[in-house]
Amino acid sequence: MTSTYSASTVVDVVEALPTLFGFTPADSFVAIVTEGPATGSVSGSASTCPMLRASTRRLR
Amino acid sequence: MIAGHMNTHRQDGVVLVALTASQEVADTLMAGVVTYLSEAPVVLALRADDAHVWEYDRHGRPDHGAPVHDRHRVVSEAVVQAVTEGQQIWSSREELAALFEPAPIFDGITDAAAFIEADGQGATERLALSATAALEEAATGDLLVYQYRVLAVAAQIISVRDAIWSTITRETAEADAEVWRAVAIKTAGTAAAGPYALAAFGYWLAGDGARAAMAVDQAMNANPHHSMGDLVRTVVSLGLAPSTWKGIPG
Repeated sequence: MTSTYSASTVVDVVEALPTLFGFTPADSFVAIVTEGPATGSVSGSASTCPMLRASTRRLR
Repeated sequence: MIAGHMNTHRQDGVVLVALTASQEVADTLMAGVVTYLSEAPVVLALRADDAHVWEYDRHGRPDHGAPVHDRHRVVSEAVVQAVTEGQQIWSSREELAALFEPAPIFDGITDAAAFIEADGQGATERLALSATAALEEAATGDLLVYQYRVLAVAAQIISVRDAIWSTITRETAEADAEVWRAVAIKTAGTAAAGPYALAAFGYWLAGDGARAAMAVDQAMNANPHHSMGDLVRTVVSLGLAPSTWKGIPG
């Protein structure tokens, strides 16, 4: 199921992150690919990883 | 890794959010990711801690001129809408990951699969039929313990597993993944890798990268050499979109 949520403020973007992952991310770096104009809805795929894990992978 | 994911997707822009209390860590990560992004414009770049949100400029540099935003003290409208539509949202990644922790009740699954394979094609076909029936029944209600065990055995025999794998579609992926997660956590030892891998594939096809990553981690914990688990791990770690899946060639 795909849903579209609107974020009208900068804070809304942060507060809506749990809808992407099914949990509230913490100590993570989140990147979201957007489609459409920046003022429109944000949809697409997202990627997150705990920072420690990201560092570990870079060291390999 | 993050920039690599972004560069492999068709995109109009990228939103970047560093969730950390450390300005220094956020600055380093933000600058690093923006450096490796190819052409996508940064639509929004932020750092957030529990109370505030700060903005970066589109080059990933701290935008000291931008206002600091106070975070809401109430649940966001988007979360309310998601929950209303049936999405479960856990308070932390660890809480969600706990759903994937093994709680084995099935021993001897590998031996049972070997016995059926040794018994010939007729036995594997009967297993495939039983597994298919169990999956169909799972779509309408709960399974009995012996049906979970049938599925655990079915996931060990490659021809049967592949036949089951080929039936997972975008429409059924989420429900199938939940069944395979339930099978996987009940399965002891290396035999858990097969059902965890099927669950991981289902979650990925359903667009749930977080659950897919958790399932594939458990698959590789159970058996670091599991080929399907390794394949799904590669797909998930590359950030491939589910739309790239064209099915198993017939």
